[in-house]
Amino acid sequence: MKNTNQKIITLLFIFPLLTGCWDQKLIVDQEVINGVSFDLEDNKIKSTIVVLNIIPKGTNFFDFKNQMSSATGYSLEDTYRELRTYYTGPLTASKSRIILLGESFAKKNLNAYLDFFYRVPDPYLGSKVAIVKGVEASELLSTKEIGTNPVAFGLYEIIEAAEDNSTVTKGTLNTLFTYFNEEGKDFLLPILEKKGEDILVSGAGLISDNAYSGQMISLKECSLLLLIMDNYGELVDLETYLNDKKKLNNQVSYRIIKSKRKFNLTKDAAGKPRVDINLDLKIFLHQYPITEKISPKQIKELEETISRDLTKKSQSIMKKTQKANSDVLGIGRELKETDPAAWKALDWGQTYPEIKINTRVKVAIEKTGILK
Amino acid sequence: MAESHNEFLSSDLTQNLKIIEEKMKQTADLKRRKLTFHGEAIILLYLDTMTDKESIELHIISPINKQESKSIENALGTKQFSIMTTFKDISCSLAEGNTILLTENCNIAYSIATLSDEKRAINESLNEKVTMGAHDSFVESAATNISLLRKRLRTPEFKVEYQTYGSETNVEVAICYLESKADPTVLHSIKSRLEKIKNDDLINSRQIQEALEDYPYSPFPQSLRTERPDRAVFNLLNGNTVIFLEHEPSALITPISFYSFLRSPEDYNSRWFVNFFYYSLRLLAFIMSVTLPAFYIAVNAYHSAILPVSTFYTLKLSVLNVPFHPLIEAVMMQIVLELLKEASVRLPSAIAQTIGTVGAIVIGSAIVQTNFISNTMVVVIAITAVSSFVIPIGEMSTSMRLMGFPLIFLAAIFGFIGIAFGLMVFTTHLVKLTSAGKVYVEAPEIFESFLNKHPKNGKGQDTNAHE
Amino acid sequence: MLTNKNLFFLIIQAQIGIGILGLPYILYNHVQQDGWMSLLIAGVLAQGIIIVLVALSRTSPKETFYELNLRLLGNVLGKIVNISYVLYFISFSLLLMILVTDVINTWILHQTPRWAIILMLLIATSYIAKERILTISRSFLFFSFWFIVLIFLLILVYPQDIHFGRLQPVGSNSFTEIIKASPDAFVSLIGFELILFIMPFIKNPKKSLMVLSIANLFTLMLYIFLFITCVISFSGVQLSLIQAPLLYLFRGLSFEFVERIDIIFLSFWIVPISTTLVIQLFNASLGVQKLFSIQRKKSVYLLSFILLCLGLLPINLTMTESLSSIMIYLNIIFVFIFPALLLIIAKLKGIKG
Repeated sequence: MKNTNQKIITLLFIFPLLTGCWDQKLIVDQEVINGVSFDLEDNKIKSTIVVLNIIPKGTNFFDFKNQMSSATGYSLEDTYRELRTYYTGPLTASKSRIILLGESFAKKNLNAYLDFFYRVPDPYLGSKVAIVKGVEASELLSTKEIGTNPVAFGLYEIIEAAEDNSTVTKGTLNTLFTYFNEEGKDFLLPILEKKGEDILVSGAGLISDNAYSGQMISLKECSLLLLIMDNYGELVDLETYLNDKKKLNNQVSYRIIKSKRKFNLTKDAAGKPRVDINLDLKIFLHQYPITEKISPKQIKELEETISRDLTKKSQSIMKKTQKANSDVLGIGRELKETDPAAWKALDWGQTYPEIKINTRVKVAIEKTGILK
Repeated sequence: MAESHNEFLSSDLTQNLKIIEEKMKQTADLKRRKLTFHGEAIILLYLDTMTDKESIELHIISPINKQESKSIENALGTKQFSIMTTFKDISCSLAEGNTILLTENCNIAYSIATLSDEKRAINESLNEKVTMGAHDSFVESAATNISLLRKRLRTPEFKVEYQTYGSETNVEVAICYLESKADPTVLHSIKSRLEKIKNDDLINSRQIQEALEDYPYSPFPQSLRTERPDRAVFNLLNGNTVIFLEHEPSALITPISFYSFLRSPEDYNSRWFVNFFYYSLRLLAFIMSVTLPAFYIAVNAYHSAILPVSTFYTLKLSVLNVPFHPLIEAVMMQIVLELLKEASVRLPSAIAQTIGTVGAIVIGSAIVQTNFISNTMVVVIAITAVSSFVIPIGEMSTSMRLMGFPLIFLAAIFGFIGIAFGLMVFTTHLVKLTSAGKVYVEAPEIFESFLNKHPKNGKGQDTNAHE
Repeated sequence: MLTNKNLFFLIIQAQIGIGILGLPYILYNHVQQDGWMSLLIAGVLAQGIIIVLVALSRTSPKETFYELNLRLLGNVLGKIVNISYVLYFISFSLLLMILVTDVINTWILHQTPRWAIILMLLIATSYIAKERILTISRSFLFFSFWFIVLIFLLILVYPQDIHFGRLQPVGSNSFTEIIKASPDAFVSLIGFELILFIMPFIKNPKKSLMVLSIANLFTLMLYIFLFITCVISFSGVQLSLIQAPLLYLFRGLSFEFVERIDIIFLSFWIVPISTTLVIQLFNASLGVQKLFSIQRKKSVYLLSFILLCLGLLPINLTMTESLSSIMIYLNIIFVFIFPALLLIIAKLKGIKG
């Protein structure tokens, strides 16, 4: 009995000591950043953030308003300090959906600039990163909504849809951190463009050595690049002109059912790396210019046409990446892993544009849709 | 010394009567009847309020009046009686509802059992309802209760022991067990604990429970009180002991494991997967009722980062205009809930329905509309309450709900880490508990079969010698 | 008495704790993707030590290590050794507490003062440590649920963006370098020295070697699995930067209904971390009980109080680092070298006697 009383008294003494609630961040007080954009302005960084405010209108009804503000400074933290003064509560990036980079900003060494997001535990690493082409990144954020979604969520979903449609590789702030620090592997970032009032993903920007190279792969070629990278989304649709005679309604389009990539890294006579990529595609036709029966012979011809077309296209895509010096395939990484001595001897930044990348695509039509 | 002289009956009838009446403190309901039997005066004494008058008339007075038998013993032949010689025995016997028969010139008295058998009919259990299975429940008579068990266990192994405790109340306690199944060491410890009951006023089973429990200060009950004979029988067959207290419509089962509190007799009456599902559901309910409010507070006050963005905004919308800290909200709501529950238990069932309406409408929606407590908090507390009500044993259900409180405070101070510490201490506490020397919370058996190929040795002698 | 199952969970809980959070980072910085080899070597080393420890405690299975010391080394020397062991456990616990508060302060509770976390930790651990060893082991069994959660979460990392090639090239480091890194891995395997102190409470001492080996194997496998998962999901430079790769793995993980698994995971990983502290407290309290002949319960309270006072001292980053580098050597002395010496003494005495 005495023992219990003692315990209770000790507890009573201890608990008032503990009622600090030092780190309390009540949900009500938090001002949550939904979208961030960075631009370069007169050699200064211009950060813009969007905070979504919810305005309750009676039970079960509410309206939302985006509060947008920007600040300029020499570092991210510099601008962040100013931004904080605009808001009523503590700002948190724990719910940021999207990070937009202005074209000029993206050409800087992104790893060094974005360090802030990785060093503290608060920011959300699942947010999507995109490069804005044509306009300032902050301009995209000033749109109120995309569809019915507030702007940041709308952009997030646009990019997610682009990933599913194999326009760009799946990626978040977290995967960027991985690739920033990976030797011999570059990556793609979605490019956003404004067309009138609409915002669209217009292609994939080639990143070279953690900075935007300024070159991009257009929307139509993206899917093929992703196939070559063996890192495609849920849907891969491609199309090929039946012949060069006319453009209007002369395309056969098809969906990839299965893709098999053979990646072969060898050395040529001069000791330089040489890459052979063989792509085996199983496809399913879903558009044919003429509504008629396709005979087995035609299918054979079609397969050849498509194979030839895709091989040609893939060659030119690889040329583009070499021109941009963006090793998106991770050939350097492969070399480093399989032949570390050779990797050490090479300056990859110099070597990559010059190596020979040989691609060959082979297509087999599996289905012709509901119609024969 | 004068009193000890008076302890035994004398041959003087009037003297005896006087002493007995004095012993019974001249209580007003002590009645006496004067009869004659073969010329000798006979006095019948009984407590008017406790005895069955019809039985006295039929089995005592009429045979004596007929004067057919030679002796009183023969006249009482149809009735069970015992012979008494001391005043103390006689007064106790009177207090138990027996009739005392005194004869002239004789220093012995006959005590005849005439206790009126006014007991409640066997009804359906109110607190432990089932949809499938037997619907009878224990009543306020130990004998009837034991008969309910005997009807189910027709075996000579079923053993009953009677003991009387409480110097003032003189309550009979029945210990029932299956001789072949019960562990003799456990049985011994139970009996020795019962011996230690020193209460003069043993009146309810909580007092026995207190004496039986190894950790009476623990919030968790270590013996199970049930109203259902089928549950008692099931436990008897598992080698546990069932204890009845006269006038108490429940059985006390000990030793018991924690998991038994999550079991309803209905489980054993259904298919294995239904059984499994409901058992898992109750385990989940146990975890939720302890941790859910604390979890909500931790998320609200510390870790809103873990919420997906849509949930975050929903939550923010609901707490936007609430002026209180979530901790205060939770405590307020818990208290309101306990008030409602308590009110509906105390009130007659007709009015109790009104309380339900008041609870649902006034508290449920009005409190949200006035922005005192957020929508989500009402939902959280409601889920907590419902989960705790799922637990079949009321005692455990309340304990669980109250165990949530320390966690709520810890969550308000440290967030998830506080909850982790709290749960750690809770687990250790539960693991530490023993019920009549047997382990209260046993590890899930899955591990047993995994790691130990001979699990049979050493059970029951788990007591560790060191310290 | 402790069954084999109880012993198993005691040992794995004593082994796995705070070390797991930073292990891949430390190993990667030494030997890059070959860290798993260092782990294997450390595991083999640990296995050898386990054999020594078990052999030592089997020389007199009815005595704890402290009693054995007093008997073999005489009263004075034995007492000195016992005191140094208690001090070793205290400093180990102190380092552990500092590391825990550091991790919590960087990841979850940024402003909560160190003393508050330490106080909370000590209340919880001393509540457990004062119980009988059987109760401790049985509650550890329940806490081991978190290992299943950990393994489950690690498997969930695999559908993410991983690249198995990062494990290549295998064996790029020289053998000596791999061996040099193994003491760092060995620190995370420490915990099996508990066997010295609980031998009298074990029901089946003959099986103890096997149980310990299985426990050690389990821990080793878990570490190797973790290391490989970290290497394939982080790129090279990245892994050499992240101090708590295990948490960072989960930081990138998010699901439909919950984000930021790292916060939830770390909050509840406090439980396995505390169990290591419980074991240290238990070991030390046995010594204090023997030295000052006071109740074990009271010696646990005494030790917790001492630790609380030590935890209140201002400790900066460099002190922590020097303490942890000293501990690496102390571990080897106290867990391996000294018991091995004692075993030799015991054998010599056995031959003489």
